[in-house]
Amino acid sequence: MEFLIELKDISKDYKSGRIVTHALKKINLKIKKGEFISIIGPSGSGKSTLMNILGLLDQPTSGKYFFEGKEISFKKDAELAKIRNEKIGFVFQSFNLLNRYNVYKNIELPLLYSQQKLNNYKERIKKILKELGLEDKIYRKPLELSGGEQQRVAIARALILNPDLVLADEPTGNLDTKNSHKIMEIFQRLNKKYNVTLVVVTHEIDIAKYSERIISLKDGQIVKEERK
Amino acid sequence: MKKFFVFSKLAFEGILAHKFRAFLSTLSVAIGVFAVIMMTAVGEGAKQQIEKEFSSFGTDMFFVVPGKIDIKNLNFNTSQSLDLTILTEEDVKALGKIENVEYVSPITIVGGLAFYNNKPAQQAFILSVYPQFFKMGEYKLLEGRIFDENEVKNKKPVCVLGINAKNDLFGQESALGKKITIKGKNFEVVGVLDKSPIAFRMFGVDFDNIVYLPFGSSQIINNEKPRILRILVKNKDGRLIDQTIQKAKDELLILRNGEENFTILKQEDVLKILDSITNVLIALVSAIAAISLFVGGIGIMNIMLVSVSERVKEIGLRKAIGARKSDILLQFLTEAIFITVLGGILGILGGVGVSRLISLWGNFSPVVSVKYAFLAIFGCFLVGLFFGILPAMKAANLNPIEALRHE
Repeated sequence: MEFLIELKDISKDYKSGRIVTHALKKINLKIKKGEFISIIGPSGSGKSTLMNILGLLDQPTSGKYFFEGKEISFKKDAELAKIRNEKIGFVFQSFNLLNRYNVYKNIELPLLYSQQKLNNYKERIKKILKELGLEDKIYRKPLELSGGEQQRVAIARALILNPDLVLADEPTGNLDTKNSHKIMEIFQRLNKKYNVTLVVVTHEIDIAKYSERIISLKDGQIVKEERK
Repeated sequence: MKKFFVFSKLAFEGILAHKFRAFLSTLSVAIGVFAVIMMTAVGEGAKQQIEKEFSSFGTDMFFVVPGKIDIKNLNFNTSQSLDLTILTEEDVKALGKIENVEYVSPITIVGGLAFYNNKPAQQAFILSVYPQFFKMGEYKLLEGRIFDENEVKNKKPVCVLGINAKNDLFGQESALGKKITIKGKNFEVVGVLDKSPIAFRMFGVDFDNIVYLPFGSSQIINNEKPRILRILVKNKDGRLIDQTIQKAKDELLILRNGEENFTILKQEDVLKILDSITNVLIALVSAIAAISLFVGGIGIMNIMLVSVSERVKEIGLRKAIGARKSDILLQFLTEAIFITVLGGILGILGGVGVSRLISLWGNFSPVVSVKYAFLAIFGCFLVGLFFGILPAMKAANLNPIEALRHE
């Protein structure tokens, strides 16, 4: 069985003056293709650091990271950017949509940096928007949308290039309970339908319950793993 | 190609997002370029005008000036060049005897103002010449006649007026036979000239606003030796001019025991001198251009730094979704270059517009040269590149995690 992601003894230290903080301590983690995982833990547990390393936005101090069986070299910016662009989609707590662009252009954004040739991406954007119930908001600006709608636009942007992995960092952190559950239901549905691997970071157990596997982090170490 | 299109689009969006700010920084470049374009246009226009005048001077003519001029290095002894006693009537006579010389005439300056009915012609110069002068210049008479050799020899109190000098002194009245007064001495007007042929506008003097006396008649006014400014010589055959010049030089050297305190210039030499003067001017203008573009560039750098710090979060997002460092770098670099090149284009258009206005309004036409226009655009491109690279690198090297957290 090949894993989409394999982490071997991943550690991350932060230096601030003379004080060294061990954010992650020898994390070993394997994620199968199509899995839906949540990472929970209190603040300072290292879950955001783990997320940033999974998303190739940060580089571990030591340890090895295999993506689709290939070891990642954190030295090559262009290579990392290519993987982020083509294989990983990001969903953030604060949505991170560009307010001067309309919904369509926000979703189109990853295409700017893609080296793939995409012919019918307009159709694809429309299809994704329809799937997320946003087809009538296509030319709206983000600030004209509700928080839940903005997060759905962000999900559409994460999915536009058909990634293998979607990373969501506290995706419901800025939403009310009703919208939070709606977003998690969408994640669940997309995971089943497209077999996209999902990793959600949260500190709410209610949110984590939507996933198949819950990994609990504390003080930079995995302290518990639960499977449904 | 796709990349170029993408970055151009992004740069446009970046500029449109802050129209007023972009407009101001574009303006700072545009004003610099405008100033440079105008200066070169005026210089080029002046050069072309003078060149036109000198090229009609004719390849069969040359003239002798006092003082030794080093044409190549544009070196000359000012006091010698202004010494109007160096050239003498003996020189003129000697030049007239040289084989192949058709006409020769000294041009001397006579000080003072010409009066008619106690009313002076303020602008009119008073020169004294040989009758051949008018043949060399192919002057046409409006009325009367030119003074002759005898009148020169006998220092007769007569004169010929350029058209503007006649109008200044007499207005619509006929001038023939009337007497004008110079320093208390009377001179009878024997002829009035038509507008001067272009060939004779070359010394920066209005040759229509001149009172011509027979050479030597100036001594009626002051009993000095004539002060010879130039000696004009016309050769029978333009192809033999270099030989004639050599003979003329030899003659003049013999007359002054080998001391070379004069210079013989032909059309080509004058154009050469003109060229070296223009080159000095161009170097000066280029220095000003560099300074003005530098100042504009600092403004651009400032604006780009502001633009980068405003868009930190956006840069973080772009990196997260797959922008490489080089993509971010090029995005901001393109934006800076867009602003400077746009400023350059606006400056050139402004320069062309104002040049047109000047040529419509006055009798001088500045010439915007395509060469300098392209140089200006290229200069703007370099300024955008040079001053845009630092902000763009700052953007490209942002840590995506910190950038995304930035509020």
